[in-house]
Amino acid sequence: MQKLSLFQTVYQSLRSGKNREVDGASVIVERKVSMEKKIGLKVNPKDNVATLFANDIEIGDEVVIQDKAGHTEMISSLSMIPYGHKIAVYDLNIGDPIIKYGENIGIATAAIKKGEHVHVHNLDSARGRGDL
Amino acid sequence: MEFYGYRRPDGRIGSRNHVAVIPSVVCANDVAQAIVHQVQGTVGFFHHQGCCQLPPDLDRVTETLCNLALSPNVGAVLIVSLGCEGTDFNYIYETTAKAGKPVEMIGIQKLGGASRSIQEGIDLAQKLVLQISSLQREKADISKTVMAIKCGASDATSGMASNCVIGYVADKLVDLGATVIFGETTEFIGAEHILVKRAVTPKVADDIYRIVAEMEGRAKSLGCDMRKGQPTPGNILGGLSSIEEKSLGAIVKSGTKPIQGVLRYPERITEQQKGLWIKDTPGREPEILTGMAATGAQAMLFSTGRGAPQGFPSMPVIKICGNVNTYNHMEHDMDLNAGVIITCEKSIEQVGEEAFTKLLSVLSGQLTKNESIGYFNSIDIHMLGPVI
Repeated sequence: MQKLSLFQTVYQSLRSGKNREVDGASVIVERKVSMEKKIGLKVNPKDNVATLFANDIEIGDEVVIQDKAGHTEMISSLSMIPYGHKIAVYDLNIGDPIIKYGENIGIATAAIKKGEHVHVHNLDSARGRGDL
Repeated sequence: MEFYGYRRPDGRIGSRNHVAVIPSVVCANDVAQAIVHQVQGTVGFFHHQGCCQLPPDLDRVTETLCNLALSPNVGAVLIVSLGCEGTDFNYIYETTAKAGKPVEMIGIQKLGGASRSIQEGIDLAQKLVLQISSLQREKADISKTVMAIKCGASDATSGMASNCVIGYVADKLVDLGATVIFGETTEFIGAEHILVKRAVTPKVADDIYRIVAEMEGRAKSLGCDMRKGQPTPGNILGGLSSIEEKSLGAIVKSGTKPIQGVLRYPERITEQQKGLWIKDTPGREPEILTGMAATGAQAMLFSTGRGAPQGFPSMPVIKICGNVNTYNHMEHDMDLNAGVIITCEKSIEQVGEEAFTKLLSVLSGQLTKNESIGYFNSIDIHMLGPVI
C-alpha cells in the first residue's frame, strides 16, 4: 500500500466525520454530541497523543478519543488541558518519543500517564538545540 | 478557468496596479513615506536595510528590491535613494526600465534635502499614477497565477484545518498548471525527511536538506534552545510543544504535489517554473511576505489559528482561520473560517472550494480584509549577516 502523505493522513482523519455525515443525518447529531463530550483527535494510528478540541478540560473529565477510522475510546483526563493541547493516550516512560501525525515531535522528559497533559513541561524538542 | 488582472509588458498578470515607492535604503524611508501619504494609488516598501552590511547582504537587498519592482502587482516605480547607500539603486532603475515598466528615481542628497525631495517625489509619483491608473483588467488563464502560501500565529488547529484548506487549493492550482510557492524553512525542521520524498530530483532533496541545516545552524549559533523563538510563546499557548510539531503541521499546507525546486530568498520565479516550489525564507511575517512578493506572487493564502492580521503593501493576503473561537473573535481580520472543519460543519473540500473562489475573486480585484483596513506594512528583507 502506498504510504500516505501527511496531508492525506490529516485529511482522511478529519474526513471520518464527513463520511459518516453521508451515511445519515442522525450521525451528525452523534458527532456534535460527542464534540460537547470533549473530543480528542488522534491523527495517525502510531500516535501516542491526541489533540483536544474542547474548551477547559478539567481533571476527571471523560474525553472521547477518535482516530481516523472513526474508532473511539474514552479516556479520563488526569490534568487540566486547554483547547488544542495534547493528551497522552498511552502510558509513557522517560525518553520515549512523543508521536503525533505518525512522526516524532519530541522526547518525554518524565514518566507520563495515559490521560495526562503532554506539553513543554514534559516534552523536550530535539532540534534547534544550541544549548546541548 | 480565468481571473481578471493587469497585463504587464513582460506578459505577467498583476492582481493590483500600484505605483511602488521604493526606498533604496532605510535612511530614505521618511521621504518615501511623505510621498506615499500624499499620492493616492501608491504603496511604499518601507524596509530597514541597505547600508553598512556585508556585500552578500547588500546584493540580497538590491535583488529583492529589484524583484519587488518587477512584480506584476506593481505598475510603475519611484525609487527614493539617499545617495551614499550600499545598495545598487542604478541597477534597480535600469532593470525596471528594461522590463518596460514606467520608473523614476530621486536622490535626496542630490536634490538638496528632504523637503525638495518630497516635492519632486510627489510630482513624479502623481505623474506615474496618472499614467497607469486607466489600465483595464483583462481575462487571464488561471495558469498565470503565482500563489504564495504561509501559516502564522499558528495553533493546534492550523495543521488540522486551515493548512489542509491551503493544501487543497495548492494541489488544485498545480493541477491547473499554475505556480505555488511555500517557504518558512525554519518550519521544515523535524519534517524535512517527509518533504524530500516529494523532491523531483536528488539535487532538489539535497537543497531541502541544505537550507534546513543552514537555518538550524544559524538558530543554534547563539548557543541556546530555540524554543520560545520557534515555536513562539503564542504557538506554545496554542498547544504546539516543539518545532518538530509545528513543522509537521506547517508542511500540510504544501499539499501533495512534487516539489520542483528550491528558490533563493530574493529570487524571482520564471514564467516556465510551474508547479510547487520552495522558497528559502524564515517564518517571521515581514521577511517571508517580502520574499514571496519578490518571487512574483500576485496573492498569498495565509493560515492562522491565533489570529495574524497583517499583510503586505502590494500583495493581497487572504487569511484562513482554523480556530473557530479566533474567527468569531477577530472576524474583521479573517477572510475565511476553516474552524468549521474541526466542528464538522463543513469538509476540507467545501472550505477548500470557498478558498479557491475567494482567491479568484481577490486576484480579480476584491480587497482582502487586511487591504480594506490598511493593515499592510508587514515588510522587511531577510538578512544573513550582521549590521556593521
